[in-house]
Amino acid sequence: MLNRHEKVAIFNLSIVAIGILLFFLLCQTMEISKAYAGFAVLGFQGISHLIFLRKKNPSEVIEDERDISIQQKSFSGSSFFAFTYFVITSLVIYFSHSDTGVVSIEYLPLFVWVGVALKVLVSSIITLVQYRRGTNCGIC
Amino acid sequence: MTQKELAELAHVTRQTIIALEAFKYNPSLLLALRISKVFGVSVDDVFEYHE
Repeated sequence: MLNRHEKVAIFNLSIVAIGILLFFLLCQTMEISKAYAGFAVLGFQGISHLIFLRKKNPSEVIEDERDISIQQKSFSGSSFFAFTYFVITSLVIYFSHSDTGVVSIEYLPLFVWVGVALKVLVSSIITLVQYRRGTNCGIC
Repeated sequence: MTQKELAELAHVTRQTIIALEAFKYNPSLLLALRISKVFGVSVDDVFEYHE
């Protein structure tokens, strides 16, 4: 049985998948600058906490030290991936357009949206792996 | 005592109690002390140290 935080991670994974799918579907029917609207569904990850992390009674424990430890690891792991992606992509864009010095504004949001999606994706995967693997330690 | 009751008394989730029983999670000192207090015994009686 999945715990609340695993459900949040799966929900967020679904949101990322829907966002990417929607973007590609919209690309078929409209220009890319408008198709970025598909990524707007990534904002729905915010409601995962309202759905899955609501207390049914005041004494109920929603999260404890194990959950916080897993969240910290998934945050630092996903941040590492996201920042590495942003640095590498920035360098690639810079050097690939160094002759003209111009980067198309049409494709720049894609670079940002993919970074955001990557962070959510990696964070959710790390969370699920941590809960499944079960080698978490409260002090390490 | 059920896992749910122990979880409530130790202020953790039932999943953490399950993970502890399955040796899949090493508790913090605070949690170890809290659980041993629930049972009214010392930490050594509840947890074992393995190298």
